[in-house]
Amino acid sequence: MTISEEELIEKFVSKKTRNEAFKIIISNYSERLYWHIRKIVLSHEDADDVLQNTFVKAWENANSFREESKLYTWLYRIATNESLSSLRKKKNENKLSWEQLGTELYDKIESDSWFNGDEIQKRFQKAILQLPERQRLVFNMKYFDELKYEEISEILAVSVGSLKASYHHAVAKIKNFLETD
Amino acid sequence: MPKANSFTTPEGYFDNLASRIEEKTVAVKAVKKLSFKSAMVNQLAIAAGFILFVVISYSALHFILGDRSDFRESDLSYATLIENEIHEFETDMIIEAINETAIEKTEQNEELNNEEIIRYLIQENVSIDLIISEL
Repeated sequence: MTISEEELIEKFVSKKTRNEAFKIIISNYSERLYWHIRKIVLSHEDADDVLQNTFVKAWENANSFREESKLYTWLYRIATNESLSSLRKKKNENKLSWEQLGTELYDKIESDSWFNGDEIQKRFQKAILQLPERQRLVFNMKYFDELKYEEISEILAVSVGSLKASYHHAVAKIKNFLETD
Repeated sequence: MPKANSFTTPEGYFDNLASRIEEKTVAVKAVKKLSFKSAMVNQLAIAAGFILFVVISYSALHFILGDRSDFRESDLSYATLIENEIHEFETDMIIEAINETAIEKTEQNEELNNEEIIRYLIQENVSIDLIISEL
C-alpha cells in the first residue's frame, strides 16, 4: 500500500498514528539517508551508528516537526547534524585539526573493506576531504545526492547565494587538487 | 569526475535495516521511560529524605527549646514574683518600719545614757535615794 507524503506527515504528527507512520518513514528514507551520512563520515560502522541515532532523534523530536516542512528535508537536517556531531566528537577526542581528521578519514578509506573504488576514486575522495566543513557538505549534497540549492538551503539553513558560492569554491579546489596532487 | 558510488555495505544490510532501527528506537524509548521512572523515584526519595530531615530537626529543636522555654518561664515567674513582692510593700509600711527601728535605737540609747548618768552620780557620792527620786 503506498501512502502520499501529506498522508504520512498527517499520521506522523498525530500521536495516535505516529508509530505506524514512523515505520513507513524508516522504510522509505533509511537507505537514502544512509548514503548521505556515509558520504560525510565515510566508514560503514560510523554511518550505521549515525543513521540509527538520526531516527532516534527524529522520534524524540517528532513534536517539533512542523507540518509545512518536507519530511525528507527535516530528516536530512537531523542526519547532517548527527554526522557532523560524530565527526566533531572524533576530532575532539583525538585532539585533531579539521585537516588532520581528513587525513585520518582518508587512511580509513584506504583500508576499508566496504570501499571498492579505484585509485582515481580514492584521489577524488581525498580531494573532497581537504575541503572545509561547509564546502564539503554542499559539494556532497549537490554532486552526489543531486539536491537542488533550495532544498540544501532548507536543510542547512543557509542562503542559496551562499550555497552557490560554496559549491563553486569546492569544485575549483577539487580540480586544483586533482591537477596538482 | 567519477560519480559512481564506490562505497559498499555488508550483504543484506538494507534488508533488515528498518527492523533494526525500529528495535533501537523501541529500546531507547524503553530506557528513557525507565530512566524517567528512576529519576522520579530518586527525586521522591530526595523529597522524602528532606521531609524526614525537617521533621526530625523540628522535633529535636522543639524538644530542646521546649525545655529551654520552661526554664525561661520559670525565670519569668521568679522575676514576676520578686517584682510583685516588692510592689506589695507599700510606702507607708516601709516608712513605719524605718521609724520603728529608729525608736528602738533611741530607747536603747536612752537606757544606756541613764545607766551612765547613775554610775557617774554614784561616783560623785550623790545619795542613792536622791538619784531614785529623780528617775
